[in-house]
Amino acid sequence: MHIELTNDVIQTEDVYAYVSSKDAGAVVLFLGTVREMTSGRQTVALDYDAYPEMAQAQMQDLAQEAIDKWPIVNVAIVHRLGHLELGEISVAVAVSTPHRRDAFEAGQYLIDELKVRVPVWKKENWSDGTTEWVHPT
Amino acid sequence: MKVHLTLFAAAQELAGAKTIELDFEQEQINLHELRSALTEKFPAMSALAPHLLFAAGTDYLPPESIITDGDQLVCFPPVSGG
Repeated sequence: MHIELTNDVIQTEDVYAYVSSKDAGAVVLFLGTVREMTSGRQTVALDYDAYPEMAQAQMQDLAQEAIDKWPIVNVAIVHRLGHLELGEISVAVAVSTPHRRDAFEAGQYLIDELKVRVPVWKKENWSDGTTEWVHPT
Repeated sequence: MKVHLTLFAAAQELAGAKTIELDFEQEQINLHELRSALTEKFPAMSALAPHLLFAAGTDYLPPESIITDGDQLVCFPPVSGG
């Protein structure tokens, strides 16, 4: 299991390498990226903040839950923090399993749960110069 | 009794502080009472207060949690990572 919060650019080759294995017949790599348009408003950049100790612990718990549910060979979750420009990768989730169905299911579970449980917040930098914390309510 | 809170993201911005201390006359409170106290002290937080999440250390507090003197808690808005 590789769990990481980082201020550096996420290198997809590294994330793939964490889960690559001769025991796996499938690797699913999900990347979350910074989108320009949200409900008709234009984003110029995002700032990510976190409660790092809890984010790390929650991501580890999530990965363990996935390992308990699916026959996972290896799993990696890397979340970027700080200032991100359009198109940059904010999060990477990688799962390797013997067969593809489990890799897709586990990958979906991990990113869906991460988005409701892991204490990370994004702040929108809108094109009109205003900023706004995103907090789904 | 006193409760110490560390705030993150919008909660921190609306309170204008990273850490705050709240005083209560009761010897214990529930999360509903904690939300009310936050709204009273920081009216700007009233829209967010019903949605705030609370943690102790790195674990979420269950909704039925009871808070007592000296508790050190963490408080933040619904998460928006990914």
